Amino acid sequence: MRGLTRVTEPTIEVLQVLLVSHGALWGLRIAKETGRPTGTVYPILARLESLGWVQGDWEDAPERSGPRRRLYRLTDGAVELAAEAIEARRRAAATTAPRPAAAGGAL
Amino acid sequence: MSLGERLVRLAAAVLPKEQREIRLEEWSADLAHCGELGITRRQVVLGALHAGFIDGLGWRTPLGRSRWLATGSIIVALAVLSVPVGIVIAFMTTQLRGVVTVETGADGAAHEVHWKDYPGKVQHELDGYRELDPDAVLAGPSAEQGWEGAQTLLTEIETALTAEFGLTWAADPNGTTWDYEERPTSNGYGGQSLLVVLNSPGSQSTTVPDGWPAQQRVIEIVAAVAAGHGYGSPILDFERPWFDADEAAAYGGDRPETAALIPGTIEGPHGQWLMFSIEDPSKAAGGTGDGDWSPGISLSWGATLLPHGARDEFRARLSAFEGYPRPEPLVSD
Repeated sequence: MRGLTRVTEPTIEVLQVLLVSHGALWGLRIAKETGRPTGTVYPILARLESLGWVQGDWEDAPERSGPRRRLYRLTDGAVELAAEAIEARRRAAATTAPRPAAAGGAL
Repeated sequence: MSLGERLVRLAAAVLPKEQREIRLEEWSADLAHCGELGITRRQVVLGALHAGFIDGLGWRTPLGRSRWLATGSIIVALAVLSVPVGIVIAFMTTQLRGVVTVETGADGAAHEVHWKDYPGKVQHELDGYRELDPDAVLAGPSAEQGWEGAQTLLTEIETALTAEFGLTWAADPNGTTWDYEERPTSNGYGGQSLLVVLNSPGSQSTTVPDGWPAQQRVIEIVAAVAAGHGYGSPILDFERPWFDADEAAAYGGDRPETAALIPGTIEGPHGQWLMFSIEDPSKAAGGTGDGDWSPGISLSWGATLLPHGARDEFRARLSAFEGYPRPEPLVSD
């Protein structure tokens, strides 16, 4: 498993949804949960999958006809890394957040 | 295949090979089930196109909002425009090129057959399509012979009806005369047939035999004379599958016993036909017609035949199509 070279806000959101889910999630469901368009989410999932962070599997639902849905989950080794990445982003956001302007104005 | 499925297929096609099949099935499933999450098919399609551009065309860096808006606008505009433009192009191409099929020749090799050059005629019927049998065309009368034969046929019918009902006959109200005039016709595949269409002048009696029994006798006489020339049995419009309430209203009745207008056709040999109609205003009062009737029996003849001078060319051109099943003709032809 390789490390993330680019951690964008949507990537963090995808990781967060996968981290709190109790099972594998349909790609479209991840898009729905993050509020991001599928055109953003699918490339992220593809990148995470190629890095070994995410595993995608076809849904085993014989009662559904037609094309199969693809379900995604964090790999065992990525659970801790995902949590760390989310925490790091939270800390960075807190540090760089704009401070409130000082009261009193200019002299 | 819907436009959405086509665009998803397009988006998947630009992806790296190892992703292509996976994404195609994944996005197809998304299209099929997106309603469960309240996501529209359009969102799925646009997402697939977006992902295709990012993963397939190497746009790895996020695009600015304005660039995405421009790209999205182009994609949507192309998608919207491609449907009608595609239909028009396909229609024009078909019309210009005609029907083309790929057939296996006697040498075992596949080659294109351009039916636009077909010399005969294939046309749509209510239950499919039908070809004027080329052998029957060649065995039958030429256009010139058919024209002469039709004059004899109509004269015999007029004579027989006059003998029984004492009728007199008027000239064609349209001013058409028995001067030979052939009209070209399409072959059904976007080209012109060597066969031609002929239509006789109309012939109309000035009075009509009174009542259905007498009118039934008129039909028997017309059919008997026509049978002597190789024609089949008469078919009244009331028996046709397309006859409906609108026709019944136009004819002033839904059956010949009560209708003010009784039209019928007798199919003749080798692409010829005889049309007749009996118009009886006295029957219109009980019908639903508009009452604009003029009494009389009308006769006319028509045919699709091969002119004598075109026989050799017909045979020569036909030989290129021997052994191949006739494809469905163009709807617009």
